[in-house]
Amino acid sequence: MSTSVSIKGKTAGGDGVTTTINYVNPTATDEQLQSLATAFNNLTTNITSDITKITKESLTNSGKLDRNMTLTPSTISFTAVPTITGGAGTSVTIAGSGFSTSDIRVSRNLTLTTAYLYADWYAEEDHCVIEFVRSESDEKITGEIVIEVPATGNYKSGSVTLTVGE
Amino acid sequence: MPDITTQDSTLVFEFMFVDGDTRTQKLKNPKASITEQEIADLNTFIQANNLVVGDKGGATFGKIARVVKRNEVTTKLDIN
Repeated sequence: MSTSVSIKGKTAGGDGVTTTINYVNPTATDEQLQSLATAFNNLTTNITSDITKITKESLTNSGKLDRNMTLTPSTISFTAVPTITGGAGTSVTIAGSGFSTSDIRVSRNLTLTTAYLYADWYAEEDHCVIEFVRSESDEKITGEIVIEVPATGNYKSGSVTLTVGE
Repeated sequence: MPDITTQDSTLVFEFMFVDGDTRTQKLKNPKASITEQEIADLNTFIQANNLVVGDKGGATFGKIARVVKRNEVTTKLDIN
């Protein structure tokens, strides 16, 4: 179990923004959490208005999909982790459970070669984003699958097939 | 329904733990210029105070293995 620190603030334009620092040691003191949150926030242009501690029983997992990780809280898991190596016209299917096909939105014109899938769960925004990243340079490629599911509910198996664009 | 286009800048940290596992941490709206020293100082601060642990079994924090700044333009198309 680990805990999180939430930093609430505003952008230079006045929009609200919340940053959550995950994987924080639950034994950290409030003073240490304040310092940690400040250290991270100092790398941004956000103006901090509030730093609060959030304790989570089970933290979200994020990382490369090739670890076949289960993402909480909606327990999305992926059974197929393809490596995309082809050019235009190549298709890859991402199958798994915890989401239904109707929950999936994809951006069009995916252009990528030889990439791995990178997933992260945005807890405060309640959706999972799967990104395609070039394995050689870590550069994000123009393509994204967004799976939006509520925090609770009944989920079915689903899949999405992506076709490499021009 | 029209496409929705958003532009974001995100700093992505890759935390590496002593058990070999890695986790990511993202920061929105990073500064335009972040120095290697600033990252090194943050890394040292986390290590020295044991502030980050792995979520699987509480593995000890190893280091910030990688930091990537991504400037992303995202177009979301509702296919439904």
